[in-house]
This record gives sequence, structure tokens and C-alpha cells, in this order.
Amino acid sequence: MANRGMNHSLQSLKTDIAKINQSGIDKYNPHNSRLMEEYVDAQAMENDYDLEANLLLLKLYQLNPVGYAGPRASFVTKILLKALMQLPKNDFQICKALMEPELMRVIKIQDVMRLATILETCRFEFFWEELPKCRDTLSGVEGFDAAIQNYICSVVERSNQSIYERQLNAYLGKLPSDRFRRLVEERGWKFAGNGVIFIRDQTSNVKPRKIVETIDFADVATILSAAARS
Amino acid sequence: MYRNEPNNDYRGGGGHDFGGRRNMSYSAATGGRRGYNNYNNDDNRGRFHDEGGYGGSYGGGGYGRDRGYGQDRGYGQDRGYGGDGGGGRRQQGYREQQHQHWQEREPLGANDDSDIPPEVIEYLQDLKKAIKDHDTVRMQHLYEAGFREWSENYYQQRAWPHPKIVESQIDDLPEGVFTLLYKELYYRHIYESSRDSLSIDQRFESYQNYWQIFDLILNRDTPLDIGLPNEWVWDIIDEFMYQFTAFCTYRAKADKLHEEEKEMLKENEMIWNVTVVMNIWLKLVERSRIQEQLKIHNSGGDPNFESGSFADHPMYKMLGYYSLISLMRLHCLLGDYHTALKALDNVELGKKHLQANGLQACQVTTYYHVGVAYMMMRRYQDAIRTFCDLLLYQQRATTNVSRNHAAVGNGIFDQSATVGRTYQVDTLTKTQDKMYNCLAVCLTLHPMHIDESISSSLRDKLGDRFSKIQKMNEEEEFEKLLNQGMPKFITPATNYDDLQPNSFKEFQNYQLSILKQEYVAQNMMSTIQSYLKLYTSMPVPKLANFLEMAEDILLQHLYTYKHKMTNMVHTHGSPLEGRLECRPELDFYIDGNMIYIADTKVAPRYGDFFVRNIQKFEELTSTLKQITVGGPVVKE
Repeated sequence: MANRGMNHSLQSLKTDIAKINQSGIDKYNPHNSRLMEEYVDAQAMENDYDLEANLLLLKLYQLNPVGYAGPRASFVTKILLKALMQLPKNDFQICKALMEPELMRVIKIQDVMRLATILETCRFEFFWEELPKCRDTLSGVEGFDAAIQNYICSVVERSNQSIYERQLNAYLGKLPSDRFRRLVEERGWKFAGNGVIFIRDQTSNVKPRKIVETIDFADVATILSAAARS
Repeated sequence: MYRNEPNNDYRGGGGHDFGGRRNMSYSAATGGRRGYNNYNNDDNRGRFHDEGGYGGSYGGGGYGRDRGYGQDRGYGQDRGYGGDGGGGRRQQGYREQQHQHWQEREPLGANDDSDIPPEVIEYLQDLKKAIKDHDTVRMQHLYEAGFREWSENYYQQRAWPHPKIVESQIDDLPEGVFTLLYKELYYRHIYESSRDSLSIDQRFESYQNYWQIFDLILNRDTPLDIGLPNEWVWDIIDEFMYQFTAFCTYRAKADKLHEEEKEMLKENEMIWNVTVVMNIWLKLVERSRIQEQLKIHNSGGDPNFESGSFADHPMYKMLGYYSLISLMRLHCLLGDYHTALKALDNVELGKKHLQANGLQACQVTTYYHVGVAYMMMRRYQDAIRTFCDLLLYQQRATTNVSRNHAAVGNGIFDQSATVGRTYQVDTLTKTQDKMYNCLAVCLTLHPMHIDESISSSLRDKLGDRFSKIQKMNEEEEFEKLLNQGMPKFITPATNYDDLQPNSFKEFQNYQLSILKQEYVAQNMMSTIQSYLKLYTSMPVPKLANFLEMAEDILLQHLYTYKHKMTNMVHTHGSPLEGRLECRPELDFYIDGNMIYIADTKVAPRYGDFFVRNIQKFEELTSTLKQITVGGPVVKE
């Protein structure tokens, strides 16, 4: 059991949390929250991630409401940011739904929500303009920018066969040219000349389809048996 | 208390009958056996606090929030909750108030009439005999038809005879089984008839009865064998859940209650406490080893447990399974959708599952909540599939003339065929209507083709409303439709020091707002789509021009569409499993400056049309065969 003020390594926290997770109803012991909070901090610092542990902490908050949710807000902020870093996966939506609605009044949480909305509506250039205003909120969260760049790349990968260099770099927050070049190469994209980057051949992914009717045996089984009887 | 139990063993449920928290017994973990009303002795709580432990403190209400276990606060010193509403220790003023409540809000009133009609006595004797003989078939009949019938004949305006009176006229069975089951029916009837006007006593008493039932089921060495029909088992679990949610709503409105009621709530926090309720289900899951059984079953094996063990007992198996469903439901109503689906890790939902597992009420509840969870997690394709699977199955089950032959029990459960029970039809229809609403929402946020017959009943049910929200920019209508489709979420814990009026409404609205934001994010898409549909390729500036929109804004919308159409899609196994897919029916890609569009065509469908008409034809010919037209019958 954790005592206040002790700092555990990420590894030892993981072991403790795993134990908590298997402890049946004891999972919901409000005293676990201190350890879980520490774990959230460690995840943020060391760029690690554990959705289920974070959900459990949100659940503990939900089951044990306090009048003033201030101290909790910084942990919830981190949980939400970590979830946001999982885009394009749906983790953010999952965590958001379990958050206490009152927390929406906290500035930091509002910051995260705003960033999330911007990202989810793909206003990438605007996102990088807004980000510096939220640096406070983001402190203590490692690898955030890289995770978001990864998300943006995934959207481009899904949408583009080729894209203009200038456009892509604007989406990624105007990286210095060497970093930009490295990122493009890491993703296996090609500079195709004339300021164009070839992403991937989309003709095989995006093509007209036809939905043809399929009839299961189960669909006609009763008809057949009725026909057999008469 | 109705049962003649020596009470002293359990006095101070928080206390001394469990040693270490590692070895905690069920009774300790759920609040002290039968002793939840004796909160007097809570001086043990400090001890657990010191150990940093927790488990034991469930007992006797010690499960505490920020108040800390060591804190010296007397629980119900002079206000133990009196089991049968006697409440002799309560202040006089409160009794009068409560009495008024009963007159104002209690249409049923307590039925202390010791003159029970002979038919009812006979009915109860029959029921008791069936329970005693483990006669499942008889019990099922008496339970389903009998109780309804007598309720309508005698007890529309008032409650069934008080259990105490019944007990005095009909001898109980060993372990008090008959009274416990009768009380379950008794309170269920009260709940059903008076809904929001229940008194706090009735809520507490009914909880106590459930608590005793589960105690009886769990706290023993060999399985309780009474041959309860599955329907009844499900109803007990389902009703327990219902009454719990009803209590949450009641408690969430605590700011509107009388001071006395508030005090009672505060002092009896263990009653209908979410953790205790959850624990009961967890214990049932554990006892029945249902997870293990399902795992074995899924891998094609035959779960073979020692005969006479809990895991081998059909009632425990069902209790375990239904508890899983309840846990899923509970987490869903708390807004914890991931954990909800995780509860069903070993349940593979879908057509096969529907065909194998019988109880209609259980299926509808399961698929509805799973669908809602998927929808809220932005797994629209999975939500749509879940709703459609169930609705289609229901549609067939009700239109199918020979449906009684259809249900073949090939699951691990020995299920009786799907039999619609009249008194539940209302609730089922309501839930199905909700499903159509959710389906409309999902199809708006993620357009795709669905089964023709579901699609046409969707249009029948919602009419213009569906096409209206599809046009986007109809937030108000969207919200209304969604609101009617969503379950009532619960706020399980109340901070009595900081009562927020409308806190539960806030949570409900919060959940709605999540999907509303999704809707708003896609508000331009239907317009953009309608243009895209007309072309196979077009330059970005041209489309921007059509839409009178800057190019970069248009690109934002196009990317948003791609992102929003990227959903986790279930592959196989646990409902949580899946992979990210982006395969919208109207798809495109951007190549530099050009948009290339790929649309999906739906080939005409004949199957359903033929099936319907063949059925009609069959019915017609069989009717024709029975008609004789004038003149003598000519023999062939």
C-alpha cells in the first residue's frame, strides 16, 4: 500500500496496480486512488499508458464525490491528455464519458477539451497555434507533440495519395526541414519532386463497392421446413 | 425482521465475525450478515483504517468516503433502521410525517388485512408446494400466470397481503425460502404499482429482502436447490438492478427530500450502496465460475465441473451469467463503457448467441446496453450491428409462425424456448423503440446500409424525424431523438455535505452532449456528400467553389469525415476486441489537388421480398383449404 510522499518506480507501480485490478471488489477501495494518481503521473512522465487503470481512477472519483474537485483536476487532465495521445483510437471519448461533469468548469480541463475538439475536427494548423497557450496544462506530459503528429499523419495516410509538402508541414506544426524530412521517411512516404509527397497508393483501398445480397441458411430455414411439411 | 434469527451473532455487522481482511467472508464484505440495520458497533473501523485495509469495512456501513474510518461518527445510534417499518425508535414527528406521505403518495397502502381471500391462500399454498417439490414447470406457471392474475383480481388498488400475515397463515419452508420469495414478489408488485411514490421504508425493506436472498444463495456450503425457473432467476436479478437504479434516482434528488429522509439516507449509506450491489454480482460471478465456464464453452469444450458443486448447478450458472449482464449494465449506466463491455469478455454476441440463449427479456436488455456502450464509444458500426442483430431476431421471432421449433438450445445453458410473457411486453417494446432511436442516431453519424426490413421499420417508427436529423444542422431534433433513446444514467454516490440539485440530470445531459458534439462536428458532411455522390473525381477548388467555402476549410471537413468514419470494428471474441477500420460507403481520396470518389452501390435485394410473400402465400393457401364453398363437399 502506498504511503503519502513515497515515490514508486513505474515498474513497481505496475505490479501494485495489477494486484489491485485482480482484487475483486477491493478495486474500488477509495484508498487506492492515491496509488493510482501516482501511476497517472508516472505514465505522463515516462510516456507509458494504461487505459484500464486510468478508468479505474476516474471510477473511484465518480463513486466518491467531493465538494471541491480541484485537487483531482490535475490528474484528470493528465488522463485526458494521455487518452488524446491515443488518437485516432477512441480512448479520449471513453475517458471523457466517465469524467465528473463538474470538472468541465476547471480551466485546465477546458483547455484539453478545446484541443480535443480542434483535433477531432482536423483543424491541424489552428491546433499548433493554440497549443502554446496551453503549455501549462501540458506540463508533465511527455511525448505529447509527437503523439499528435502521429495522429495527423494517420489521418493523412487514410485520406491522401499525395499531398503538397508545404501543406503537410503546416499540418504538422511547421517542423524544421531536417526533422520534417526524417518524419516523412520514417513513415515510408516519398518525396516525388515538385513539392509533392507521395503517401501511398489509395486505388486499392478506396474503390467503388457493391453490396450484394447474401442469404444465410438460417434466413430461409423456416421456409424450407414449412415447404417440406406441406 | 420477519425471520426468527438469533440476532446477536450479527449485531454490529461491521464487526467481529471476520478476522483478517484477506480471509474475508462474503458476509463481511457485503455489510455484515443480516445486520445492516445494526450500525451501533462501529468502533472496529479504526482498526481497518490503520491497516490501510478496506475490505472489512464494508461491514456495517464503514465503507467510507472522505470521512475516514477512524472518524468518530455514530451510525444510527438511536435510529437503527427497523426492518419491518416499525421504527419504534424514530421520533414521533417523523412518524406523523411519514404517515402523511403514505396517504399522499402511497396509492397501495400497507395491506394489514388479515383476511386473505381463500383463492389467494390456495394459490400461495400451491406456490409453496411447487417450491418445496422443486417443481420447476409448476412454479413457472404459478409465477408467470398466477401472480399476474391474482394481482389483477385483488390487488390493483393495494399491496398483496403483508408477508407477516402470510407467514402467520402459511408455514414457511426450511431456511425461510418461501417467505423470502414471496416478499420478493410482494415488493416487486409495490414497486411496479407505485413507482415514484414509494416510501423510504419500502425501499429499505425491499433491499433487505434481496440482501437476505443473496445471502441465502451465497453464504452456504452446498448449492441451494429449489428449482427456480430461469425466468424468475432473471427477474430477481433484473428487479434488483431496477430497484437499485430507482434508488439512485431517489437519492440523487435528496435535496428535495424531507430532513428526516435525508438523515435516514445519510445514516444508512450501505443500503443500496453501489459497491455492495456490485459486490453481490461479483460474488455470484465468482461462485458460479461462469467466466471459466464460458471460456471453456467458447473454445469448444464442455465445462465439466464436479457434480454437486456450485458451478455445476443450473441456477447458479444462470445467476452468474445474469450477474455478468447486470455488471455490464451497471457500468454502462455509470458511463464506463469500456468496463461495461469488458464484463462480457467471454460472451460472444451476435446471431449465434441470440439463437442459443433463450430469455427474451435478458437478450433485449443485453443488446440494448451493449449497443449503447458501442455507440458512446464511437464504435457505430458495432452499435448498428448489435441493434440490428437483435431487432432482426425479434422481428423473426414474432412473425415466425413456427417459432416454437426455432429455439434449439445448443449453448451451455439449458434454456427453455423463447416465450413472450405478456406482462413484460410493455417494457420490451419500450426498449426496442429506444433501440430504433439509437439506431437512427448511429446511422446519422455513420451512414451505412442495413437490413431492408429493419430499415423500413425504422422509417415507420420515426418517420420524418430520421430524415430530418440526417440533414444535419438539426441539433434540437437530434437531441430529442437521442434523449428518448438513451437509458437513464445513474449517479451512484451522493455527497450529502454538498447536495447539488439536478446532479443526476447533469450527468444525463453530459452523456448526451458527447454525442451531440459528434453530430455538430459533422454538420457539413451531408451537403458535401451530396456533391461527392455526383462525381467520380473533381478538383478541390471546384468543390470549394460549389460550397462557397475556402479550400482549407473544405479540406478540414474532408479530413474530419475520414477521421470520424474511422471506427474500431469488432472482429471476433470479446466485444471489446476490434481493429481500426475506415470503410465508409461513400469514400474518397485526395491526390494532390484532386478528389477521387468511390461510392457503394447496393444491388437489388429479393430474398426478403420472396420470404415474406412465400409466407403470405402459405398462410393464404392454408386458409383456402379450410374454406368450403356451397354445395356438397366433393371427396377426392
